[in-house]
Amino acid sequence: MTTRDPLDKLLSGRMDRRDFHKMLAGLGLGLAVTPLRSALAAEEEANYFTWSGYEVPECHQGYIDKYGVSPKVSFFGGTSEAYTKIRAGFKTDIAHPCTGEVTVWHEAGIIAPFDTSRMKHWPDYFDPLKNLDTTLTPAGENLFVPWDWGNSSILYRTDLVDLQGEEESWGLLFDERYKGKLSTYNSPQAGVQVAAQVLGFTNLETLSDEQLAEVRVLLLKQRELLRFYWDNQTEAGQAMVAGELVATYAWNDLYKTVNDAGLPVKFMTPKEGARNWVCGLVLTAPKYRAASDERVYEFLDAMMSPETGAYVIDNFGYGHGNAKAFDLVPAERVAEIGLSDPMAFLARGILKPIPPEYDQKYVDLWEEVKLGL
Amino acid sequence: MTDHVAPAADVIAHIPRGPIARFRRALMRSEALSGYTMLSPTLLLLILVMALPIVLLVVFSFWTQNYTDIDKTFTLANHIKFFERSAYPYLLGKSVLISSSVTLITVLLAYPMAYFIAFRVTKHKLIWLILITVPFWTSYLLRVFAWKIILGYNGVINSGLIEIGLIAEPLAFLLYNPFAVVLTLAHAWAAFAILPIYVSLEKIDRSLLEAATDLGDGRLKRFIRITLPLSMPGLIAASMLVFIPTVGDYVTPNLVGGTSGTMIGNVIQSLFGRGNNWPFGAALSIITMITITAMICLFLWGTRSFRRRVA
Repeated sequence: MTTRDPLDKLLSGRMDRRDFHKMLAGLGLGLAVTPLRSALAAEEEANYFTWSGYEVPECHQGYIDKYGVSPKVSFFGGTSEAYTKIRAGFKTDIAHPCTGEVTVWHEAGIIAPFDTSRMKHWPDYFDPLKNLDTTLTPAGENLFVPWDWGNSSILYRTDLVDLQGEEESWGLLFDERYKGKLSTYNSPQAGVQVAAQVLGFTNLETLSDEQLAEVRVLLLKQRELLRFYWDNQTEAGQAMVAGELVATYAWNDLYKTVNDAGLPVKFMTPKEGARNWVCGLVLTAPKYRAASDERVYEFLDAMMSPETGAYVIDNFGYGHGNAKAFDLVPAERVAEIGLSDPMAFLARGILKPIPPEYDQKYVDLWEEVKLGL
Repeated sequence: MTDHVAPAADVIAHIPRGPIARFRRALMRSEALSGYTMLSPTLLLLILVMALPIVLLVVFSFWTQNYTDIDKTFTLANHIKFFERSAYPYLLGKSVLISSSVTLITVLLAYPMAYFIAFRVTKHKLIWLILITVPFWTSYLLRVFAWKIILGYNGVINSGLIEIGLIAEPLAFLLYNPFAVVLTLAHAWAAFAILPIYVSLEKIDRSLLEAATDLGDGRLKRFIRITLPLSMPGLIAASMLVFIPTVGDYVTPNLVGGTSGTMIGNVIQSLFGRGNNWPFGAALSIITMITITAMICLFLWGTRSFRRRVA
C-alpha cells in the first residue's frame, strides 16, 4: 500500500529526496509563520523595560488581577544601556529611566507624552513631582510618571570608619586611609558630580573644561583607592557584608540590606548634600511600541496604585509618586528610611539633568578615568 | 510542413530557453559554478552574518557620533583619536599581553592532558574526553563566578588560609587584577585547547615513534623531533582558538578585573553601550581585529620557521 503521509514514508525509509525537501520546505514555512499566527491569536502583553528587582508581581498586582499574567519584563543595567538598546530598535512599551534622561530620550524621538487623563491615580500624585520642568514637552505634556525616588549617598561601616570628629562628607570616597576598601557607582554622572561636589563646585550640571580637568585629577586618584566600580548594587552590598569594603556609594535601600546582615552601618548625610533622584516610567514612541494602549494604561494604573506604592516604600526603602501610598505604610517605617516628609525632600531639589553637550563630556571623562587616563 | 524544416533548426528549437534553463546549462559546463551553487546556502549565510556586519563596522568607523545622531561625513577622526590618546594603544597592548599569557598557560596545561589521553589511555577514551568537557557544561558566566568565589575576599582560598592560621587578614590581591583575569580565562578556555591538541596527537603514526627509538632517540629527543612537530597543527589551532576570542573578552575582566584588569573589550562594550559612540567603538573593533590578525600571522610565521629548523 502506498502512503501519502510523509512521516510514514520517512519512518519506513521510502522517502525520496524530493519528498524530503518538500517536507523540509513545509516545515520551514510553518516555522516562519508561527510567530505571525500567535501574534494574531493572542494580544501582546505590555512590555516593561526596567532595572532588575522591579519585576516582582507586587509591583503590578492590578495588571495580574485583570489579565491573569504579568507584563513581559526585560532588564537593563543602566539607563544609557537602555537608551542605546531602544534606539537600536528594541521593542518595549514602558521604560524606567530617571529624570536626567527624559529630555534626551524625547529629543532622540524614542518616547512620547502620556495621556494623563487615562491614568486613574494621577490626581493622587505629589504635585511637585508631576510637573518637574525637565519631564514636560515644550508644549507642557507629561513625558514621565514619577515612580520611585530617594537619596544617593555613602553607606559606611561605623565601626571601621573613623571620621575623626569631622562632618560627614563625600570626601570619604577619596580618603587614602581606606585604600582598597572603597567602591563607587560606575556612573559617569554620579562619579563626576560627586568629585565636583568634593572640590566645592556648585554648577554640577555645567562644569567647565577647567573644572573637569580638576575633577579628572581627583577621580584618577580615587581610581587607585577603589576595590572596584560597581554596576550592580548587590555587588557592593555583598562586598560590604563580607567586610571587603568599608564604604561605598549607595542608594538608600542598601542600608536595609547591610543592616539586616547585622553590620553597624550608617547612610551618610554628607555636608555637600546627598544626591536626590527621581526615576519613573516613560511611554515609548509608537514605532517602539508592542502592546495596545489599553494594556499599557492598565499596567500604569497598577504601577501607580497606592498598594504598589506602599510595597515600594516598605520593601525598597524608596519613596513613591502616589501620596496615598504613604498612608498605607506605618509611620515608624517611613521614618526609619528617612522619608517622613516627602514634600520637604522634594523641596530640597532634585538632581537637574545634565545638558547633552556636557553629558557627553562627563561620559567621556569617566570612561577615560576608568582606563587610568 | 515538417518536410521543409532543416534538421539543425529542429535541434535548436528543442533546446529549452529562459534564464533557468540557461543557468542549468552553465551549471553543467562549469565545475566552479556548480561548486559555488552547492556552497550557496552556507555562503549566503556567511555573507549575511559575517561579511556584511564587518563591512558595516568598517563604514561606521569612518563616521562620527554627534550626541544622539551620527554624522555620516567620511573622516579618519576616530582612527586618529585612537593613536592620539596613548591609553588606547596601551590598553590594546595590555589586552594582547593578557591573552598571550592566557594562551601560553592554557596550551602548556592542556598539552600534558591531551598527551595523556592520546598515548596513555587505551580503554574508554571517549569517557575521558567527555570527562574533560564536563566543567564546560555549565555556563561561562557561572565558571567566572566560581572563580570569584574561589579567589574572593571571603573566598575558598582566603578562608582556607585563615583557617590553618597562615594569614590573619584575607589576601586582597587574589581578585580584581589582571592576574585574576588570566587565571579565569585560562580555565574557561581549557577545553578549546585540549581537544585540538588531542586530535593532532592521536593522528600521529606510532611507527614513526618506534622508528625514532630504533634509530637511537631518547624520550626527550623523540618528543622534540617527532611528537612536537607533528602535533604542531593542533597546537596552532589551540593557540588561535584561545587567543582570538580572549583578546576581545569583556565579561571576565568586568567581573574579576577590578579597576586595573580592564581590557580593550570593556572599552568597546562601553562605547556601544553607555558611551553611545558607535563609530569610535567600530574603529576600535577594526583596529583590534587588524592587530589580532597581525599577531596571528606573526605567530604562524614563527611556528613555521620553528618547524623548518626542527626538520
